[in-house]
Amino acid sequence: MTAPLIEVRNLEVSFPAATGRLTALRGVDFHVNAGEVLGLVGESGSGKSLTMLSIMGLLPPSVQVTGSVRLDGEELLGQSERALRRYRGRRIAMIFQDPMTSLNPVIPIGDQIVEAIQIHQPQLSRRAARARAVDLLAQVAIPDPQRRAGQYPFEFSGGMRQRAMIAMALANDPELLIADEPTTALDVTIQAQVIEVMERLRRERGIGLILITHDLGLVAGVADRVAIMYAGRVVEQAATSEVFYRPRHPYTRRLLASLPRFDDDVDRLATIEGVPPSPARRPPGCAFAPRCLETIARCTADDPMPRLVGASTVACHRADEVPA
Amino acid sequence: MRALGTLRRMGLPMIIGGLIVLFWVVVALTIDLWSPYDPFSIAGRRLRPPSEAHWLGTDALGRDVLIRTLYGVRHSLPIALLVVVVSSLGGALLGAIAGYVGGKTDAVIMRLVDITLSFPAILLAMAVTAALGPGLGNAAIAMVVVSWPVYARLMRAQVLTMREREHVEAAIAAGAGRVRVLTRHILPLCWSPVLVNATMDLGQIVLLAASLSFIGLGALPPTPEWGQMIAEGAVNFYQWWVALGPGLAILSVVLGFNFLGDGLRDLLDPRSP
Amino acid sequence: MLRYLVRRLVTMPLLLLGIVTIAFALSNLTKGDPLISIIGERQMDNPEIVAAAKARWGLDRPLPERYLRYVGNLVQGDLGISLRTKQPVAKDLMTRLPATLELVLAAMVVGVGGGILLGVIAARYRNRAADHAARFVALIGSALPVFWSGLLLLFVFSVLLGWLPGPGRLDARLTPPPGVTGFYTIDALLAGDFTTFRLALTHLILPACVLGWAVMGIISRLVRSSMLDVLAQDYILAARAKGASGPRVLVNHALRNAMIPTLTIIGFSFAYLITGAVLTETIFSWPGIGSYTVDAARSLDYPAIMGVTIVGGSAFLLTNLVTDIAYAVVDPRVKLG
Repeated sequence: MTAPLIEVRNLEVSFPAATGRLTALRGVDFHVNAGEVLGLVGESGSGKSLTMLSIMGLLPPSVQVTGSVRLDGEELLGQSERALRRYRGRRIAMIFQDPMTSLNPVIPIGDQIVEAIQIHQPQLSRRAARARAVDLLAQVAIPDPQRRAGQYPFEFSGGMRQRAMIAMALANDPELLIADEPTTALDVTIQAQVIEVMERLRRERGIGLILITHDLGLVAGVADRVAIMYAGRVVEQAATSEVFYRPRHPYTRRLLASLPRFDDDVDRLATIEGVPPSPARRPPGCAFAPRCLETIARCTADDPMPRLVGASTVACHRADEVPA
Repeated sequence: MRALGTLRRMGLPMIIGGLIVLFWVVVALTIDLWSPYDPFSIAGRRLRPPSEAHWLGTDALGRDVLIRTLYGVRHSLPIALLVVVVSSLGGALLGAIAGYVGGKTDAVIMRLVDITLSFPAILLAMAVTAALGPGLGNAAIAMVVVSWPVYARLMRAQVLTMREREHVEAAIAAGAGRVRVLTRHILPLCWSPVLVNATMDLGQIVLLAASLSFIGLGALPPTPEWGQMIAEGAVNFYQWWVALGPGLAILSVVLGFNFLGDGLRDLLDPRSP
Repeated sequence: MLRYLVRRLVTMPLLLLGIVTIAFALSNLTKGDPLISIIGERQMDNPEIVAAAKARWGLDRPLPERYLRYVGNLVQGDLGISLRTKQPVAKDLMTRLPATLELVLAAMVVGVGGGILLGVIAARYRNRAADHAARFVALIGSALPVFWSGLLLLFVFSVLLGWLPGPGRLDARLTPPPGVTGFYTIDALLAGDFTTFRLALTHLILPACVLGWAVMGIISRLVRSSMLDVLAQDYILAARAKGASGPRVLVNHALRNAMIPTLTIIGFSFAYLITGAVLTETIFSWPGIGSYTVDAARSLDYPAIMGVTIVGGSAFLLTNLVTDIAYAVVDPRVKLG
């Protein structure tokens, strides 16, 4: 079996706070193979964005990051800022959630793409870079790209802005794409468009993708594998079909149950009562136990570690009991 | 216990500012009791550098510079206080009326504000003082003329915001008259930016007064006013100590009120971190 | 945006008229007799001069007519005759304008440049030693009385250290370069006279720095807070995610956005500089409008005082308008939105 494109092992992130050190990520494990799509799912505060920022080394120096992040076998954690900059935007590219705030409002879009190109390919002339930027805009199906390149972000529609961000991310032919909630800020009708463009280009170039989202429907349609995050840990990780048809973690099951379905005639949507614990107030034992309906005595005492159960990696004491 | 909590929230700069202001107030009130020299009489040889007897040396007439500097606060601070109180209250009143009544009154008052603010402060103050005749009193009038517009603008903006608040509508619906609504429901919420600005203005007015005196339009000799003393220092350029005291005094007062005002703003603004 | 600018241009004449009216009112206040404000107390006994003044300014006529005369004279550029120099005030001002402009522009370079630098440093190293140091320097600058810091620094650098020359635009024995712009520095360069250029420059440094320091305070404070706001924005993180280096992010992305609100302050700091120039020029024997004003104030030269006030107010009004236009031009959201 070939080595995965990116492999994250035991990623721990902690930062100083008024009450001492808080651990936001407690041992995150996952991997993505080349050309594959991993869907990273979780509620707000589960640590999804934090995981991505720590992969890119974009957290402030007061935040402590331990563990291992290997891209093509190269260890990223511990590398100097200067070295990491060579990865960012070139080997790993990121697409942010809100394209309106993620694009500099006073610089034309074309120039921002040109900047992405020139940072990593300084030998290219400005003209060549500009041509490439226009070409990229065309590839993400932005009409009249030559003229559009000279426009400012506020002159683009929401969907176009996001596609421009995709173009910028692809500018230097990255191996891995990280998309942080790429469709959350968009209208439902536009979401499909953006995803279609992203997926097409990704597949054409064989780029790996980590798709961060809370939208299970999106994951079902696009991802090859899924990792579910809760309170700073990956609680279930498996192929998409496994996760959807044979969910083994109680949290996953409740998530799936809360999805509205066409064929169901219900008065109320199912919800999960309570909220995820903040890093400062995590209970001993399993972090999900307070909201879980299937707890046993062990759950409040022992924090379950992820283990292989069937075709999934699950962090639950009862994972192998529950009918598959 | 609550005092300690407020003290901590104040932050170091504000405490320093408060101490500076306190120092000068104490000096102003008590200096007659302990001053070894009289600020108007000759205390030693003329133009002597700092020594044990005269910590900041003596000026061109042989008066002790340090003592004159300390006495200076009696001329600067009360004037500044008077000017700020009058201009802030007057300006705020006009601004409140403009904001609340609106219409033509608002337009007239705001035009006056705009015109007055079209002048750089010192030019207008100079022109007014010159027209009225040199002297600290006329300078005070000039400074009031120069300062009131800012308060009018501040107050008007506040009133315009507060006017739309629900409790005001409720009061009107309950039958309260216009004056009552203004004084009891709107104004109490509006005073904090005015207070902050007034505090910082105290330092600025001391500076402006000193500038006017420096030119010869404010305090006249032999008054130990800081600006006036610096003018004397400019004449006796090589005797650097003559200007040192009053300059440091002005610097400390301006800093003190700036810190105090900044700290006040942080304290009074519930939104700031 | 265009509508807004047109509105501003229309209110300008009104405000100018307001300025003139205030000056008129003030000149009528002088000891109750406007005649004094025109010819000075000492000349009151001279019937010829009194008659001439009365004719020119219509002093025997009722108030409204006097006002119209006044405004009319002003529009023609007649600001009266200076009691001190016996020259038309307008001519005096024109002669002295280049000196002040040179000083103010140099001070703006120092103040704005220094202010931006200090603000960026303070924002970049927020809450660390560099931040506190930068803010302290800026703070002192805005609290220092300019006429005092000028004295002190002049003493330190000219007398004590001998690094910089004394007051004045040039050494007393030198002749100024042939006047093209009136700026000694530029004129000397244009004439190829490098000795004079160097001298003019060294004479310019100290007053420019003293004046500029006063402005550094407000500018650096605003730059710092704007930068902090901007640095917290998502597009800064996105830029870093593209692989942009620290300096590139700071300058291309952060500063570019932070400068927009800073522009208004730059325009506003012009007023500070005018204020400061009045006092700085006196200390440095700089023959500009500022020292002219102080001389006028000291000798109660009413025509000159009123003249400077009107001109100063109008200039101030103009710079504010220019700043507003510049703001609209720089922020594309305002320009096109």
